[in-house]
Amino acid sequence: MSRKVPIRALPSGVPGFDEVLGGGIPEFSLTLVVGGPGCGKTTLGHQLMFANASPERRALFFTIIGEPPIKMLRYQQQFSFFDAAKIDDSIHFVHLGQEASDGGLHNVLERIIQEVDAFDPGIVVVDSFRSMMRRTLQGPTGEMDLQDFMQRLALHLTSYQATTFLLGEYGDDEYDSSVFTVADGIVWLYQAVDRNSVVRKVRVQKMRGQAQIPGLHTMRITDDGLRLFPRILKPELGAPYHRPLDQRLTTGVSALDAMSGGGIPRGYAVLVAGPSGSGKTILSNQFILAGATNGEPGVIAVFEKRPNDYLATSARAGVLDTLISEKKIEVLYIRPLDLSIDETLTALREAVIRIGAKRAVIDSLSGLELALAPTFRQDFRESLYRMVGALTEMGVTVMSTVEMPDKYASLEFSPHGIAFLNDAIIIQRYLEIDGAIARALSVIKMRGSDHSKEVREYVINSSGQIVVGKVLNGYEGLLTGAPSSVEDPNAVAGRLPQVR
Amino acid sequence: MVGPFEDDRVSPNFSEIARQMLHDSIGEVAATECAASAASVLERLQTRLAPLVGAAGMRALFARSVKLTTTEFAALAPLRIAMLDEKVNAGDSLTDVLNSLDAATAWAAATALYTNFLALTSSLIGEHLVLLVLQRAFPKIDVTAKQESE
Repeated sequence: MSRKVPIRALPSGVPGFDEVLGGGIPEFSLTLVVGGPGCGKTTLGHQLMFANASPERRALFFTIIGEPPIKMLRYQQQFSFFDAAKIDDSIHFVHLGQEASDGGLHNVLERIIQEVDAFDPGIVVVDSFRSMMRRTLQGPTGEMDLQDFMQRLALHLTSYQATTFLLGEYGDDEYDSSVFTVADGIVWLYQAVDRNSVVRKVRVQKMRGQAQIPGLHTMRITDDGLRLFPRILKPELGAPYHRPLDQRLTTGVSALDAMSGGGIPRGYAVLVAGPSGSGKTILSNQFILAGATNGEPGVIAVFEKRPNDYLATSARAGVLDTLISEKKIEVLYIRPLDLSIDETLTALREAVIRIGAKRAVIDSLSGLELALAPTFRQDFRESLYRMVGALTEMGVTVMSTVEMPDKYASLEFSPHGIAFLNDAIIIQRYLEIDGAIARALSVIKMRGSDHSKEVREYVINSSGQIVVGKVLNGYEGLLTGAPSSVEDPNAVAGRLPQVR
Repeated sequence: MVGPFEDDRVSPNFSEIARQMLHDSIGEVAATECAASAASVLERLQTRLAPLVGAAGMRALFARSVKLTTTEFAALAPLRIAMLDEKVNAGDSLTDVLNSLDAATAWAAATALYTNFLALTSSLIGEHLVLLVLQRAFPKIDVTAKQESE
């Protein structure tokens, strides 16, 4: 028998929140939910309550001063979690405005205790305690009265085995020791403004008895209520994913597979960099289709085109359509206002799990960066590191495209210095040969594996597919963009017929 | 809870529901019985609705309903004036005013008053929630009465 008292965790009813809390809401705890106006405190309080209220674990929702109850009721029932059938049976609403006006904290506490004693709830929500505190603190013994109130409230509610939530309006990171010290948990809700964007965030400052995930986590409020996107995802259960080099995936371009030393090692992160129009999307398309047509479902996250446009411009649109309907490919278009990396990662992970994907394409990182709220662009490298790492940890081979304008005076493989985050890098470049624009690609990096060092010409054929040709022998200075030919009779004969 | 509230395309017949509320336990005989019935209805509504909308919210809804009803029943004007004073007990004032009317007018005014009250409250917190509350406050009445389709 364990000597420790078991602390059961109640579900929060908020997707992503249990993970951030370290498992859920500790039973019998007293948690403060604090933040500025409009940050979602009342909605969170209702969502927590409706998730847990039942005939066996009833809930009391106390309103004091603040949003009129009739308004609160009107707006909260717009959310899908609001179950009117629970009201009266499992949930009682109690308004304490009169007690707060007449006798302040003392009368409020007495009424709370009376109601708790009569209804015997397992969940108690008080909205909002701060408005009452302001009046109390104005008195000569305000600070002590408040501490006394908090102590007695916490004691009574715990002895009645109630899990309690006190909602209160506080400015960002405002600190109130008399209240915060008593609480078992403190949850901050924020609305972070950066230029024209507003991003909702949550921080669990404290949760006694549990290891919460620190930091700020992105949040959204939808018709279903609050939803969190945890900042750091816990590792998947089970053994860490190994990436054996002998398990190779085809890129969908046979010559490129040969250049890569036999294909892309499973679980790798591949970066395809090149200027606009060089065929990055086409290559990523071939990569996904090659997998999906051979029992390896794939996810495509599109950031520049809408899914319909993406599908319409694909060379194998018909095949793609069929594979989508067969749930072997899923196309994600993630473009809500003020996107976060965590939201993107959550959508990708859910899609991977949904169809059992083994491959993923992110097209493109440039588009993703533009879709992000300004506050997340500043940490783009760190965010990509987490996102790619989380996907490859799931055993998914990830191909990302990124726009790199051709620079002929320097050799760069990615903007923001993200090349090192990837296991493999393929670059595409434009060249000028014999008065015409040609395309060339090279495998720059293939971690842990031998690979071709060649610069090879490629074309996009009449079927819209990339075909890689021979090495561009007989030229020097290819990376300058305007190579000069050297005397080699094989140079011209080995070139591919130019289609586009 | 299922069944009665599934068809939300047609609004409830609040007039019929109000009539049933008033006649729930007291027969239609004289104005004095109307007054007692109306006061009883108010008390039962307060018991169930005040926890949801607050005591102040309940009083505000009732006062507004009185105001709306006086356009049709000017005889309720004293009640509207009384409701302006927060210290005045709404049930007592309602009883006094209805007792001062003839039976037919009293019943008609009370029915109109609670019809307006139900419609107003529904417009704010939704018909579904209001009908749930009514079902619990008045278990014997039929809250499924619907307005006739046009």
